[in-house]
Amino acid sequence: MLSLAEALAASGVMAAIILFCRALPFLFLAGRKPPAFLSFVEVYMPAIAMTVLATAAYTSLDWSAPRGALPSILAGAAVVLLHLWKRNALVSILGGTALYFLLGAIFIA
Amino acid sequence: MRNNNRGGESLSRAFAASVPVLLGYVTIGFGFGLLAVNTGYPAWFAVLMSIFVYAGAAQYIGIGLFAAGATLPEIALITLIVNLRHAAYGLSMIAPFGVHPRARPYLVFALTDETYALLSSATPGERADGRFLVLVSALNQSYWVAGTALGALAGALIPFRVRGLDFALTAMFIVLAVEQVLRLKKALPFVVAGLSAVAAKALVGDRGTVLVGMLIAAAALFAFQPRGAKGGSHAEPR
Repeated sequence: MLSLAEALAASGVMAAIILFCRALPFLFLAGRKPPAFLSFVEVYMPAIAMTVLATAAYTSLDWSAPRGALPSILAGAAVVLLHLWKRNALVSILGGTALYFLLGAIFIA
Repeated sequence: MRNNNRGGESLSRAFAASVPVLLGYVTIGFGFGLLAVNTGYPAWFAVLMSIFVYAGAAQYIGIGLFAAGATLPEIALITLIVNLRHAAYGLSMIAPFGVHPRARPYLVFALTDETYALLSSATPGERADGRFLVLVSALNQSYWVAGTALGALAGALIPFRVRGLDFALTAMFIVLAVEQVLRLKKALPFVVAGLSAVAAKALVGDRGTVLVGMLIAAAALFAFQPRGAKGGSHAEPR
């Protein structure tokens, strides 16, 4: 285990790298006319990012015990249906999370 | 500029937008605080990491690496790989952040997955409101830091587990994906992105799913986009 001083130094390096990642496009591309790939990224990145982030929440489940994945699947489906029906983000998210809790109590005893 | 009514409205809109992140960040931040303290680091260290590092997955992985006695180059490389996806977020935020030069340093620093999710799906009016952007970012970070502090303090007292509230973040990503479907009115990008995430999980495992999945999806969609769509002829009202 790293000592507290080493962990502090390592955290400083981590903070710098993460800030670098977040600032990268602003450092090198701000003020320039964006090339074709960038206008593509601007239009499609939110769609790609949200879909990949949502999917990753499911690929990280333990699929060797599908019963344990059921609450996530059913609550996720409920979120989609709720959102298409009411189109109110809070209703969809809170409704889905409440259902997840309920199903979790039933399926993961 | 400091009109109280407008400021109050920005705050209430920012708070309403940030509620799903409140649930998720307090829970996951709580878990991080617990983990750090149970690993053997003091509560203030966990809080300091959540203030200055401020990246969920990287902080969890970081504590794991610290516990395993990893070397600095290993820690640096893994942090870079895990967080490179944030560069892609910045790409689509150059224009909206550019009109708020004074707020931009903090907005860039605080651009987590969840904050990007909220800001990239904000209305044009909200994006033009620098206060709204800063308040969403700062509220989100305050939830993360508060959750960390609570978890670190609780961990010093009793071993603890909270389950379920973190589903709020999954639900938020699903809602925002549905919003993107309704905006783009095409199925292909979503099918490709979903399959890319599954392929990435199979290729590199959980830690790399998001970055590698986004890279595969972006490359595939860029290669196969319809001819007429290249060169900025997108008609999306943004």
